[in-house]
Amino acid sequence: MSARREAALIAWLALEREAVWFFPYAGARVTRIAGDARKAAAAHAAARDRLLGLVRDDTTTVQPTYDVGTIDSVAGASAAARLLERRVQAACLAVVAASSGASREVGVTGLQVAALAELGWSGRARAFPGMAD
Amino acid sequence: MAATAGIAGAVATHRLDDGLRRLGVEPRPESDPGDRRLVARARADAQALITLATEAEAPRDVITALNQQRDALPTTLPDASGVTGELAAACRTVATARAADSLAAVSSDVAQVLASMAAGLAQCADRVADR
Repeated sequence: MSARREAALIAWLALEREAVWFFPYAGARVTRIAGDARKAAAAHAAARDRLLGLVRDDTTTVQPTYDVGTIDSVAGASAAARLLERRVQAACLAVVAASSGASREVGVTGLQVAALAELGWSGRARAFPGMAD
Repeated sequence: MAATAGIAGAVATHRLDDGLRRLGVEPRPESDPGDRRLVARARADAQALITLATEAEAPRDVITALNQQRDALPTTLPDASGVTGELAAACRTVATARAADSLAAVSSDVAQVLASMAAGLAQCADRVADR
């Protein structure tokens, strides 16, 4: 595996760790989204575990907390969730860029998963998820 | 959507030298013929989906996304799309094709555009199916 691909996978892994922290936090702060947040946390934990199996040397660190702004409403939690999913999309696209041929598949699949997850938080269809608007 | 426009332009002309060098790849003097075919097919499919979406009175964000996809892609080669049928299913079919094309692309930039399109089409499919 190239150093670029390893770095891209690690960047993605760091975001999955953030998501595993964020969704239970958001669900606890806004109980109306607790069910969806639990499902999202489980999905991101699964993604984290898959990535742990792909990286050679996990240099990410689990932070005690992340700066996600004030989460005190469904709208606020959904907006923060969409933003996080967009960051995951960008990370997945970086994996695609750093890979070749069939090894791009993990990034391509992750990108679609994150795009659909964004939609689940009251998102709208976008032409080019993962790319800068 | 400046970034997309830049990438689309790069796909068209393969003025990707600077970007490729940043990625550690020596630029190709000309675009890969296979990549040009992938881009041409992607544009034709986007046009076909726009027709289906308009007929189906799809949500505005879906129609906008499909138009942006088509408009971002250059007309490198003429191509025809075989996409027909119900819109959500058609979007899923094309999303699967774009994802596969992303793996087949020679250029990293083309691979990214196609992968991103696949994700956008998956969103379109879900938006239409959820109506």
